[in-house]
Amino acid sequence: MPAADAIMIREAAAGYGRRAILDGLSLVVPEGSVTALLGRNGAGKSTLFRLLLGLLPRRRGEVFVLGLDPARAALAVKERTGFVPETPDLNPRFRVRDAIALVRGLRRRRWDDAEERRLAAVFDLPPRARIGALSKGMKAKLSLLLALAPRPDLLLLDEPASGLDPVVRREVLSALVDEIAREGRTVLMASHRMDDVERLADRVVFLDGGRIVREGPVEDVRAEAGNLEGVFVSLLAPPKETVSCEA
Amino acid sequence: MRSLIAKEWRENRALILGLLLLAPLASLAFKALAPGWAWRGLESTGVLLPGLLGLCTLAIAADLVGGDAGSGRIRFLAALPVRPATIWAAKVAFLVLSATLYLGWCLAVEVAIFHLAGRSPAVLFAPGAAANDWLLLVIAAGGAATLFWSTLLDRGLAAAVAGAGTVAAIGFCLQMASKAGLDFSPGSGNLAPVAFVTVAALLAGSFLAFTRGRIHLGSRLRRALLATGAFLLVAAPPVAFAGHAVLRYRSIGPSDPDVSLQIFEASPHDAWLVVYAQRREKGPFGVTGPFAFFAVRTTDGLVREIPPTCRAPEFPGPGKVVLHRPESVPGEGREMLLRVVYDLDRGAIESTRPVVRPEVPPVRYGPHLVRFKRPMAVVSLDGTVQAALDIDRVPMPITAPWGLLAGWWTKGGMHYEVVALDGGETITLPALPFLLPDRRDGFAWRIEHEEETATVLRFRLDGSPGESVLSGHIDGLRTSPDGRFSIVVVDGRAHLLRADADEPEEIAGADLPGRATGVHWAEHRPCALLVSRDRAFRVTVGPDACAVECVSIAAGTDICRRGLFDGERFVVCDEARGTLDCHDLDGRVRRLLPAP
Repeated sequence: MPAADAIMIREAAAGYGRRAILDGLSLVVPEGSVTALLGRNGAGKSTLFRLLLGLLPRRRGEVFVLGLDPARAALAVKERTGFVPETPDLNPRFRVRDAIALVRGLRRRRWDDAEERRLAAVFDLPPRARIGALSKGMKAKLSLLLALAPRPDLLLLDEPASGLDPVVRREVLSALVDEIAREGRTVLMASHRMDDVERLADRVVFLDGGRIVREGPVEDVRAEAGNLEGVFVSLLAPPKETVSCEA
Repeated sequence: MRSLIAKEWRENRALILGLLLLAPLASLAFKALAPGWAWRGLESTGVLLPGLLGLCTLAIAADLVGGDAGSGRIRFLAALPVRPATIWAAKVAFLVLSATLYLGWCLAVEVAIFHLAGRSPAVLFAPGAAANDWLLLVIAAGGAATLFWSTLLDRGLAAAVAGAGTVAAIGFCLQMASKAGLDFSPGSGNLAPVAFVTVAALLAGSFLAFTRGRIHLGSRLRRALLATGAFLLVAAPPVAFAGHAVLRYRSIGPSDPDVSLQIFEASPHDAWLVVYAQRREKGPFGVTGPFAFFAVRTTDGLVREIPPTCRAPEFPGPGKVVLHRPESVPGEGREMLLRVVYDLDRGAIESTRPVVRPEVPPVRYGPHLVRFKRPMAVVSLDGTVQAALDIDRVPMPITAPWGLLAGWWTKGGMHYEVVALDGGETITLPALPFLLPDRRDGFAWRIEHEEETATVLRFRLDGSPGESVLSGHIDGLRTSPDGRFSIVVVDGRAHLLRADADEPEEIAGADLPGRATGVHWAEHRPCALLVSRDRAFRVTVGPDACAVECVSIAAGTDICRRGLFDGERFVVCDEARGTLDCHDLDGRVRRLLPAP
């Protein structure tokens, strides 16, 4: 695998039980790039993230994350990777500071206390507030803090701004933009929001039926249909039924 | 690990605080409701403390894994750089730590309450309190079982119920095992290995399901299969080993050296005898009592394992033995038996059929058949009641063809009577004779001791005093099984007493050295073996005189102990050492059991 590729997947297949979600998927994410993963619901975006983190065994193919096979070195991959899930599964009875203390304790090696303080100030997270009482936007910010404070080499974002109001979404995305600009981190993000993708990403990948159907620089892909949404619909919308009248 | 344990503490903080508060409340309520015995230390340590500790353990263990799995928090943990094994270990460490500290808290609360009430808390630590240690094993098993189920189910209450149910099921199995003779009572010390294996197997199941069961993906079937597999893998070998040890202990073979032996019965037709073997020591888990029956042919040492019998074996003919096995009790003094005829030469059961016999079988006394009925001993001939004995009279083994010797106790000592089997007359005797006459007006024989000297006296059954016929140091005495002859060795000289004679006969040619002499009568022939330290004689009793033959017997003091003589060879059974040796009359000794 070339040293410049943060993620390299070759003909990988994975699924749950008898269901194959990813089937012969091949993908390269260059180091330092921001790649957006686009696909319909159930296309396999979350499954791909689990595969990259070693949380789901692959049935065939090769997967390398930061030069490591997640099936064999899951711990090392997770050490260097920050993951923001679509739904943060935190204990609602925990306070904000409890959740930060837990992750800090488990990511002690790379945790940056200064970065934690900076992000806590930027996001204005109340440390004594119970997580169950936080709004969706605050929970998203907390998830982002927990993923960014260890200064990961690779950031995986599963619909980071999903369900957020425009104000909070702007705050979260601004923080992400700053982070990317400052650190030059590799980012792979799944999203349905084309404006978010256009704002953040420099590469786009379309996922359908467990395979990549189109990938490339955002400008090149956008030029095909004028905007990314047009490309999305043209690539991923189900074919319309044609009705013909025959005599 | 510390972060994970802190996480568990934060998640269970409210529960633990509630349990801490419960301890003094429960103790005070206990003492208010049962003041009579709640202040005895044993009740605190035997009921209250284990109850609180059990509640704490189950309550914490119930949600330890299921809480994270059911809420989805496990997915969050799975994405962090921490091994699943570390997460699991932190949970178990938290459970053990919490339970231990809680036990200390409960004990401290008890001590404080006792102290405040002006009572000595020393009773809590009295020696008897340690007898409740087995409850800690039950609680440990309950905690492990609840953790096991918490790993499979995502519901805490269900896990707690399943955990308690698992412990109850194991308890039921132990109770069944106790009925089979294994001892799993609290003080037996056998509960500890059971608890250890149970806890280890359940923890192994939980561990494997948690670390390999893809719990973050919610795959229940995979978890269940892994947990069950690990449980069986850990539990099966020790259970199989223990089962094998018990079966091996219970199974007694003819080569087994760890048994005590008793000669049960000898065949009158050939050289077979039946031997009873029983394990000397207690077995694993306190199992006792396995026994076996063997038929041994003394001529060549052939051993057959024969079915067990609940009555003395009978020998209907050469090479055959009849054994009885209980089937059921029909009642009214009768029992149903299975009569098994075993062919000793072929080594196989020839036939079986059910028979109904009286519970107390009749006994043959010469030409008479005598039957006893509890609680009253009733002597009957062919079903006709001839005489009745009080319940404090015991039929004794010395008989004459016409009479039955019975004994009874009073404050003064033992008294003896001869009950005439025809006529029912009862004759009181001054002492226990060793030989009764074959007619009522003949002489009976008894021994009186005075310091180093013993005197053999003969006396009539009319109450007249006895006459001394032999006096000296008695080196040996034995009466034949049919009650017709006795051989008594006095100062190294052997004398024969006959039931139908008035005078003793000196057995010429049996020159014994004046030391302890074993007198061994053949079971079914008028033939006896006299064995002293370095010489032996076979005495064959004829109608008028005795034939004496010097024979060779291997030297050894055990020869003077009980053995079985069949006229041709002498079989010695050492019960303690579990050996059966055949001494041929040419000096050879052959080991019959344990079989080589």
